[in-house]
This record gives sequence, C-alpha cells and structure tokens, in this order.
Amino acid sequence: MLVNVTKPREWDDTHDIDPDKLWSELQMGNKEAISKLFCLYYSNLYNYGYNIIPRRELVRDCIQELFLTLWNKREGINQPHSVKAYLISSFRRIILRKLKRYRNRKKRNQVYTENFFEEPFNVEELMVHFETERELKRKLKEALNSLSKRQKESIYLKFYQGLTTDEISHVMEVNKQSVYNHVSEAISNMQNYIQVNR
Amino acid sequence: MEQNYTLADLLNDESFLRWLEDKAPRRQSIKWNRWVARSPERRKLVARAQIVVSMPFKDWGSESDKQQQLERLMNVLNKTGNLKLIKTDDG
Repeated sequence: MLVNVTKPREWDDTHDIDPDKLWSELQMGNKEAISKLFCLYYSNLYNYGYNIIPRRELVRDCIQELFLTLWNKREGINQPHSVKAYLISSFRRIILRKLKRYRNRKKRNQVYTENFFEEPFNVEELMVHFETERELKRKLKEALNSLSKRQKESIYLKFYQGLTTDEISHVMEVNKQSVYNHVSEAISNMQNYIQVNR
Repeated sequence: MEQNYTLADLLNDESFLRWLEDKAPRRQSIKWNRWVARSPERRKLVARAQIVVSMPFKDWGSESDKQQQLERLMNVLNKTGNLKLIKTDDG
C-alpha cells in the first residue's frame, strides 16, 4: 500500500462480532445485543453524522434516537440485508428530519442538500490525521475540492464507510445508476490530480 | 476478465475493492493478481486506486464519548416505562 489509513470499515470484520446475530438477539429483547451494536457502529455513525452537520450534541442525540427507535420497534423490523447499511440509512433520515426542524426556511430540502458535506468537509481538516508525502496531500486536497457534495458523500460512503453501490443507493435515496455516476464522476474529476510516477 | 479498465470501472467493482483490501476470496484474488501482473500500466492504475480508496476522511474523535453515550442509552432502556430521548442542553 502507498498509503495506510485506519478505516472504520475494518471494525465490522474484527472482534468476531456478528452483526446479524446481534440483530436477532436484539429482536428477542436482549439489551446486551443492542449495546454491542451501539459500540460497533457508534464511530461510523458519529463520523458520518458530523460530516453532515458539525454539531456534536445534535449528532449524539440522533444516535440516541436511532437506537431508541430500534429498540422500541425491534419486533416489527425485519432482519436487514446489511445491519450497518440499515443503521446508516435510518440515521441519515433522522438527521435530515432534525435539520428540517432546525432551520425553518423556504426550499429547505434544497438548502440542506446543498449544505450537505460542505463545512465539515473542509479539506485542510481532513488531512490532519493523514501521514503521507506533502505533494500527495496537496493533490488529494485539490482532488477533494473539485468534487460536488453528492460526489463527496458517495465516495465517503463507498470508501470510508465501506458500503456497496446498492447500499449507498438506499442511504442516499437515489437509484444505483446515480450512485455509480457520482462515483465515476468523482473519480474522473480526481484522476488528473492522482498520478503515480513509477 | 475485462482488459481495459478505467480507474472508475475498477473503483465501482466490488470484487476489485475486496481484492484491494486483501479480503477477496482466493479465486478472485488469483484473478486480480494475474490481471495486475500483466503490465506496468495496470500496476499504476492499482496504485492510483489505492490512493482514492485511502482518501483521508477525518475521524472526528468519537471514541472518547462512546462509553458515556452508551450509558445514556442504557439508562433510558432500563427505565422500562417511557422510552423517550432525554434532551441534552445543546440538542
């Protein structure tokens, strides 16, 4: 690897924790199962939420609401294909609903969508924890800056959260082709910045 | 296997991504290893794909409050009657 980054997607596969099993235990009313699911996905959810809206308390509240709703409705929810994608997708809806209540403006949906990933995806910030060559940093920064918010969110969900195209289409509530297009466009926008001289 | 992948093709290919993360099943892994070994251009393409996949999205430091937030949740769950979100000041 050229670049080593610890990504939360690894957490799914380590620790011998099986999210599907936890889910069925949760459905049977096992509180330990929900607390394990909480621990397993807290960071994924928090980071995603913070990228949507950089307000710690709001993001924390939305996570609480997500898991409380999950607990209250546990018997009526079917086992999802991917627990993680299900949680991320429900979480996104909770956040957007909260944001609507927050900002009472015209064309609010459009405003939120436009704000999406804007402020927190300040690329300077993104680079802080990233060890790599100066030049590569600079190029990645330019590359990310060249993307639209939708494109950023798509590649974030794909490469950082490790979701499949199918799962991203559920989360972002667009069809698979749109996700494919967002990712492809993002990459084609970025690829001029990402050259390898070897 | 497709001969002329673009960077976007590769990064939209779940099998390729699994291979890149070293999580591909053996057969797929052999396939991609063979594919990349065929030309220096492909090796470059894979190196670029690795850069995109490793795009450094920042971790906003959630580990420190995880335990506290878990306790908050479990406190509510353990009060069996009324399962409602307890508001925080800033929320």
